[in-house]
Amino acid sequence: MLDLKLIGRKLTELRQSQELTQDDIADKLYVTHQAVSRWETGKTLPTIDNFLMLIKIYKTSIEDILCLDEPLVVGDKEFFLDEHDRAFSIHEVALRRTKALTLADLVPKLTTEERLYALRLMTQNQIPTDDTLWPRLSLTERIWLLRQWRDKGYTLDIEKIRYMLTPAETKIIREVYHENRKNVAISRQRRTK
Amino acid sequence: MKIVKMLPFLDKEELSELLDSLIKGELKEENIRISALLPFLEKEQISHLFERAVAGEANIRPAAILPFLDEDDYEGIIDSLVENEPETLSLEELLPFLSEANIKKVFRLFLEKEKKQE
Repeated sequence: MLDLKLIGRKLTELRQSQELTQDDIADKLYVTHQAVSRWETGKTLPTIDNFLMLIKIYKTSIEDILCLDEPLVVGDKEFFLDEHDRAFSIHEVALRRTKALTLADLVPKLTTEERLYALRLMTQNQIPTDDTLWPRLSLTERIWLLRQWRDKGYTLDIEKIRYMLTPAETKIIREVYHENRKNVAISRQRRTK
Repeated sequence: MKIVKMLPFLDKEELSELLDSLIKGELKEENIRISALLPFLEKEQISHLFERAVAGEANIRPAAILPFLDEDDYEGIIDSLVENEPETLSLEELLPFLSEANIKKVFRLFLEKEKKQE
């Protein structure tokens, strides 16, 4: 994924290294200086043809201008979401691309939709839920995760979170264990016959 | 009870029914927004919704669905966007979600298209 804020900082750095102003770039690309400002603050991306023009002006490469090879840097955890693009941050943290920050650190600052997006990324990629995340999730999110475990084969370490489960959550687990025991008993009976 | 609270408990068929009702406008947006359904939908339901959104037939911006698509979905979208960009979605909106290989593919296809036009 692309980090729009990081790209914005790179665009500023490249422009300043050539001693150009935002107006100079705007004139060369036939865009407004507000558009250049939005690119440099990571609010939007230039169009592909403007990217190609910028690569020529700054005498650089696609990899450099899009910061493709740059590692994810976590400075102050508190300001991580301000320093990086939100979608990018959620993606990288949910997929554990950094050890400096976990989803449990991020979750309280996310919207309901962002939190569910993060959980979906985790379950799809079989990223385990740790016991620091579980208490920070809402009941809806926890039930959803348990259903992913029950129906979709998501690996959840039940023993680690068992002591935090509500009666409704415990019921889901009991049903699964009961069903498993029944299946084992049936297959044993078949084998003895 | 709000429908949103029930979403984690609905199965695939029930979600499909709900999605269809929202696309057809049978349910009011104040009760539930399509975007609230996204984390709960299956891959094929998301792809179907995305196609309807690009065609302007669903009350959601295609860009809002992009985070929920898979890498193989993006590849198909890149080809069709480079060929003919619809009014509802631009290549620049897709770029942040692509892998490095797909980003390079976009630039390569774009350059090839430019050369053909020249």
